[in-house]
Parts: sequence; C-alpha cells; structure tokens
Amino acid sequence: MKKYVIKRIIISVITVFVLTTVVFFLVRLMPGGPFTNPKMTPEVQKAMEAYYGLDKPLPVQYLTYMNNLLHGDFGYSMTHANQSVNSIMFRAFPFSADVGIRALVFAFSIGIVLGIIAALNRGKKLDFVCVLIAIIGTSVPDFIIGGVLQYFFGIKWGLLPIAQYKGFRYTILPMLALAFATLASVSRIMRSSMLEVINQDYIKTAKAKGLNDVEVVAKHEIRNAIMPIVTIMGPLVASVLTGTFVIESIFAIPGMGKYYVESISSLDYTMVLGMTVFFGVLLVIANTITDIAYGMIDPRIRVR
Amino acid sequence: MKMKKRLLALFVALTMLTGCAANEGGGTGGESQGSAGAQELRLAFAVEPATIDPQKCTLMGEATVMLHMFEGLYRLDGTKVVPAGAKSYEVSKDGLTYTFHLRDGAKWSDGKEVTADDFKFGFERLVDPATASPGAYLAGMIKNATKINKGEMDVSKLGVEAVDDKTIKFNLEYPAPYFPGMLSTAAFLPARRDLVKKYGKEYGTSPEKLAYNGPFKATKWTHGEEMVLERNENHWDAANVKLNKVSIQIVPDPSTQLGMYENGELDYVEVPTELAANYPDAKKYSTGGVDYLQVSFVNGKYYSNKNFRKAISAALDREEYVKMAFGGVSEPAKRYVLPDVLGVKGTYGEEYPLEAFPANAEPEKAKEYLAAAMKELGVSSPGTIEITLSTADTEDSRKGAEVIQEQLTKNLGIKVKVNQMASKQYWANWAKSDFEFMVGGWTPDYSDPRTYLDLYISGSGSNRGVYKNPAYDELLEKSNTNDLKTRFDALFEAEKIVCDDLPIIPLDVRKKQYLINEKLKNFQPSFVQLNYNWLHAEFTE
Repeated sequence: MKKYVIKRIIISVITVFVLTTVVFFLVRLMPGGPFTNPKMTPEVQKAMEAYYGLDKPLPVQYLTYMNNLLHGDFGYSMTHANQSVNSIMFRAFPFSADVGIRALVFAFSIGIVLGIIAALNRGKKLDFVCVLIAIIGTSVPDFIIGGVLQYFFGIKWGLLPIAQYKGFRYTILPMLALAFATLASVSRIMRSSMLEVINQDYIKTAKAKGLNDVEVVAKHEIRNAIMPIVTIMGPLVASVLTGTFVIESIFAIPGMGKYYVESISSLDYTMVLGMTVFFGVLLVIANTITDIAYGMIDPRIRVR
Repeated sequence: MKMKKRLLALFVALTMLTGCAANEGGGTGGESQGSAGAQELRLAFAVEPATIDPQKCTLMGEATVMLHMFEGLYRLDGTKVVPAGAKSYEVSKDGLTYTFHLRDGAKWSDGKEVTADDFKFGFERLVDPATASPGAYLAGMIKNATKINKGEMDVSKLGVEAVDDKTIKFNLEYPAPYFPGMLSTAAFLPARRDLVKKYGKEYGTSPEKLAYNGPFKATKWTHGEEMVLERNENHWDAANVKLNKVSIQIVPDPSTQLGMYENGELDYVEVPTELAANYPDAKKYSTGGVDYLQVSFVNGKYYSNKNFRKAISAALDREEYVKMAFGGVSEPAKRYVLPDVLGVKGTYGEEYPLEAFPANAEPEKAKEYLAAAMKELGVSSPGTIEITLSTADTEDSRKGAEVIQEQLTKNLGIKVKVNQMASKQYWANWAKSDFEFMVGGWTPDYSDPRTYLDLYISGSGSNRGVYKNPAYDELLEKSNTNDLKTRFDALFEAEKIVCDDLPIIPLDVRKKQYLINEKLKNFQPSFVQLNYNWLHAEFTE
C-alpha cells in the first residue's frame, strides 16, 4: 500500500510539471500579447514588455518562472496592474470554494436521496418525478436556471437578492443554480447503480437470512451502490471548487471563474499559468485521493 | 459571449411572458433607496478598476473613479475646460510655454499641502520607462517626453519645472492650444513622491496606500466586489460637493445589472443593445467612439484606388447597419470627428458643420465609382473582385461584419468574405500593418479634433493602414498654432480630406442607452476621458 501511494504522488508531481511547461510555451504561441491593443504605441509597448521581463529570451523567462514557482511565487498579473497572481487567487478562491462546497453538499445529499427514492419506487409516480428532475437538470444549462431563479426569486417575488455575495441570503440562488446539474447526474447514477445492486445475489441472500427491509437497503444496497458516486466525486470537487465562469458572472460573485476566461482572452501570461497550475494541482490531488481511496476499498486495483 | 446573449434573450422572453415592465416589482431588494437624505449614489461596473494609481490607468472605468478621487490642473465639465488644481495659467506668445498657478490651500486627504512638485512628479512618473505607464504616449507634446519614454534621455530633462511650491511651468515640443483641456486626462493626475517611495509596487492597490487630492476619496475596496468612495472633506471645494458616498458594485453581467436597477438597488444602469427595444424612453449618450472600415494602402490590390473606396462608402447603408448591429442605439456616422469636441469657442460640430455621408446607401453612385475604379484597375467584371473583411471574434463584430458583407455584395456585385479572429490576433495584425480590410474604431483621448485626426499623419504610430498624403500632413502641421481660428480651419480641411479621400470609411458613432433614478440630478455621462461625471450630482426630493 505504501509503495502504491508513493507512486501515485510521484506521478502527480510529474504531471503538474509537464502541464506547467506545456502551457508556458503554448500560451506564447498565440498571436499578439498582453499589451496588444489599439491604443498602444510601439515605444510604450516596449517599455511595458521590459517591465514584465518579456524582453528576455524565452528559455530564460521559463527558468525564471519555474524557479519562482518552486518558491510559491506566481508573479505579477500583466493586466491587473501591480497585483500579484497569488493575491488575486488568494482572495478569489474562498468565494469559489464557498459556493462550490455548498453546491456539492446540496447536490450530493439531495441527488443520492432522489436516486434511492427513484430506484425503490421504480416505475411508480415518485420515480417519474425524480427522473423528470434529473432530465431538466441535465438538459437545461446552468445560466438559464440561474436567470430563471434570479427573475422569480429576485425581481418578481423579491425574496432573495439577485446578485453579489454578501451574506447567507446571497448564497442560496447561486448554490441552487450551480448544484442543479450535479444533482441531476448524481441522482441518475445513484438510481441505475441501485437498480443494478437490487438484482444481485447477495441482496437475495440478505433477504433470505431474514434482515428487514431497512437493513437491506441501508447496509447492503446503498453501500454497494454508492461506489460510482465516489468515482465522479474527485474531478467534480476540483472543478466546482475553482469556480464556474457563467454562474459567477451572472451572480456577480468575485470568484476565480472569470479570471480563467479573462486571462486567456487578454493573454495575461502569468495569470493563465497561475490559474492552470492551481487548477491542475487541485485536480491531480483530487484524482490521487480517489485513486488511493480505491486502493483502500478494492485491493485488486493496487496490483494494476 | 454567446451565452450572455442567450441569457438576455431569456430575460426578454420572461419579461414578455409575465408582462412585467420596468420597475413593477421594484424596491424589494431590501436596499436603501437613493434619497436626498443619504445622498448615496449606487452604481455598478462590469469590469473592476484594476488600479487607482493614475499613471497605471488603462480603462475608462478606472479613469472614471480616478478623476473623482484626484484633481488635475484643469478639469472637463461637460464641454467646458474649468480650473481645478490650478486657478489660472499664462501661455507664452509662441504657444510653447504654459505657466500654471496652483490653488492656495488645496490639500491632500492626509492633510499635506498640494504642491507643484506633486504634479511634476506625476508627469515624470508617467513618461519614465521604469514606470511602464500605458498612458505615456499622451504626454508626447511635452518637451523630450517621447525621447525619455524610449529610454534615450534622462527623466530629469522633461519639460516640466516646479518654479515654486505653487507654480508649475511646461515647455512644449509644439504649440498645443488643447493642452489645458488635456490636463484633465487621468494619466496627468498628480502623484505623491513620498508615498510612491514608501509603497513601491503596492502603491494604489488598496485605498490606504495612496492619498487623494480630489473631491472624493476611496474608503473601501473589496476586490471583485465593491469600491466605496466618500466625500473628501479636505478638498477645497467640498462645500459644493453634494454626494456623501458613491458605492460601485462589480457586476459583470449586463442583464444582472439591469435586474438590480429594476429592483431599486442601483441609481444608474446602461441598457444592453439587445434589450434597447424594450426601453424606448431610455436616454442616450455618446461614448465618443467611432467605428469605421479601415483599408490598407500597402496590402491588397484594390484599396489604394480612391474610386474603389468611394464605391464602398456609397454602397453602405449606415442606417440599416446601425439598426442591425446596434439595435438602433448608435447613430449613422455623418462625418469622422465627433461633433461634441471643443471648437474655437463652443463645440467643433456647431462651428464647422459637415454632412459627408448620407444615412442610406446610394447604389447608383456606388456603381459609378466602381465602374471608374474597375477601369483604372483593369478589372472587367465586379464578380471577379473578391475582398476579405477581417473582424474580431465577438458576437457584435460578427453581426456587424455580416451586415456590411450583405450590403457590399448587394450594391456592388462584388464578393465579400468575412474573416473572424481572436481579438488579440486581430489587433496584433493591425499593429503590424498586416491586414487588407478590417472593421476598426477609435475612442477619443481628449476633447479636440486632433485625437481623431492624428491617426492619419504619415508615419504616425497609429497609422497602420500606411496612409500617405502630403496635403493632409501639411494641414496638421499648420494646425500647430496658437491662433485658434487658423488652427480649427486647418483641422476642418483635414477632416474633409478624410471624408473625401477615405483612409478610413466611417460607419457609426457609438451611443449607449441608460436608465437613471429620477431623483438624481446633474449626473453627466461623458464622451471623453471618463464614463460619467458625478462631481456635482445630487439627489433631490
């Protein structure tokens, strides 16, 4: 087990290193630069490039960047004057993480319950309702759900604030909008997984040995059916925590989502890299934990 | 963003479906209403100011807050240039030396006296290549500024001199009667030598790492969320500033902003063009931006032919273009220079009226020009002419380019392709003069025709179409005089050359629609230097 964990961690570190290197050079291949705009005269552009060290040869810039990165320094943003990438991520991440955690907790708890109810009432009215919710959640994009929620709860009924993130009341609508799609897929996966488990031999055995229904469902069905949910949890956690551009934009949440999109279209090199490394590290950590968790639950995986 | 478009469409649909017009469900957001008692102005910005350090200013939104928190020597009040940090100035006979007298008793928010050195330092900092100021090019008329910015000369050689604590003198490269008006630009605001030294790179990144000499001061700045400005009681004119507080929320989505306004959470909002039809009573203001088709005089075989350019211009239906591309909010361009800029005494447009372009297409005329062009170029049929219009990859640009494509194809019978590309690539190509035919635009830096006309001087940094016309250059040279009548006559002649010779083919003048709290008075949207001016705004009962 120890060997397995160490191997996973070494692979993770290499992954992040390769990712950073590839993105560093790829983003430089894009035409234009952070200071390309119609108001920039050639002299001013030169001065600004020198200020950010972009006048040096690319390999030198790469080594400098990697060296700084090892010290945890992501450098200064090229479009947010005098603000370091660290400070931007440090203040934006908590917002994304906050709304993300709320959405995840909501989506997983409600999603799993809905999936179970649907599976236990297969073909009945309750199943139909749960499936309908799942279909809406999967097929309607989050910005539509966000807009509808804003319109009714904010403008029409005036129950909740339309946008911004300044207290508990402000968190409800973005949480719902963000959670809906995840909730839908969780409930779908849970439902089909439950249905599969219900027909297994060991359930028959459990019933045959005289366990009551509640015990069968709680101890045997749910515990076995929940495995696929663990699989999708890792990547979902990473992507939801780091923010989503659309939801954060609609609800004016000062999270990380907009920086991903903005930094690429404005070719803010340091921001693009900072965001990529941050997201990459989170994703790799989440995947590694999932892998390790698997290894613990199912010994066969360790061997492969 | 495509998604935003869809969201807007959804809002329209919902509005129609439920029959809820503006303000119906208003006032339920639990926020305080704008009132005469509180005198608090509530605004929303789509993009957060990245900095409040004037010498780092790049965005209009940044300039908007800076010009309220700081005070330059002069200030723009509507279309008038009024004294601000200075009380008066003298100009030498040759128009090359300006001496400004600072106001007595003007103080920074931390109590320090405002001195001539604060202004001098601001200018030095602006042109010093070590600052890497994006606005450095604006100081080009000050002696040695360009050379210093290129690193060819020491910053101490800049033509700015603090004669004493309250007197500052400028030596210019050439006479520039618009200089006092230009001093109201954000890049020309003063800076504090001691605080820049103290905070270094951190200067201007948070409200306390700065001092303010303007009518307002920043008191709170939560990045990505909100910025709060309060009246600066140390300001010499504080008694005439009515607003106590200005809160700026950062709300990226325009339809969310609109929702907040309708909920009574904002006092002012701009209506997205897609929703313009729902608000026929909304007021309009000109943003100063002009859009045009830009041609290259060195690439492509047709564009250097004057008759060909005239054919394109005559084939354009500008009214239809504005309707299709901007929901009818912008206006068809009648000329190149924005008529609202300063003239000899009043505005340039009143003193020098010009209607060079009709609102609708003139297909007959267009075909005549095209026939003449084809003869000169040795082309036999219009069908063999194929041109490519480059445009940026935004939804608006695509819509606009398609309208132009259709009009040119219909009225000239030529083939037009549209080539969309990432906006950075688009401007990078432009900067390298690597284009043939593209949609371009310009926003003014100061209130004078030269901010538009300088672009086509031979060899000018922004003349990427590589237009060369000695007669034009001569007129702009002639305008370098202190005699205002001679100057504006020359500039007007130059503008007429642009409208006839067409180094660019004007399309529209950008406008925006806005909704405003009825109790809010004297809030001025502006076409230059800042988005709006709330210096003398107040809430009345």
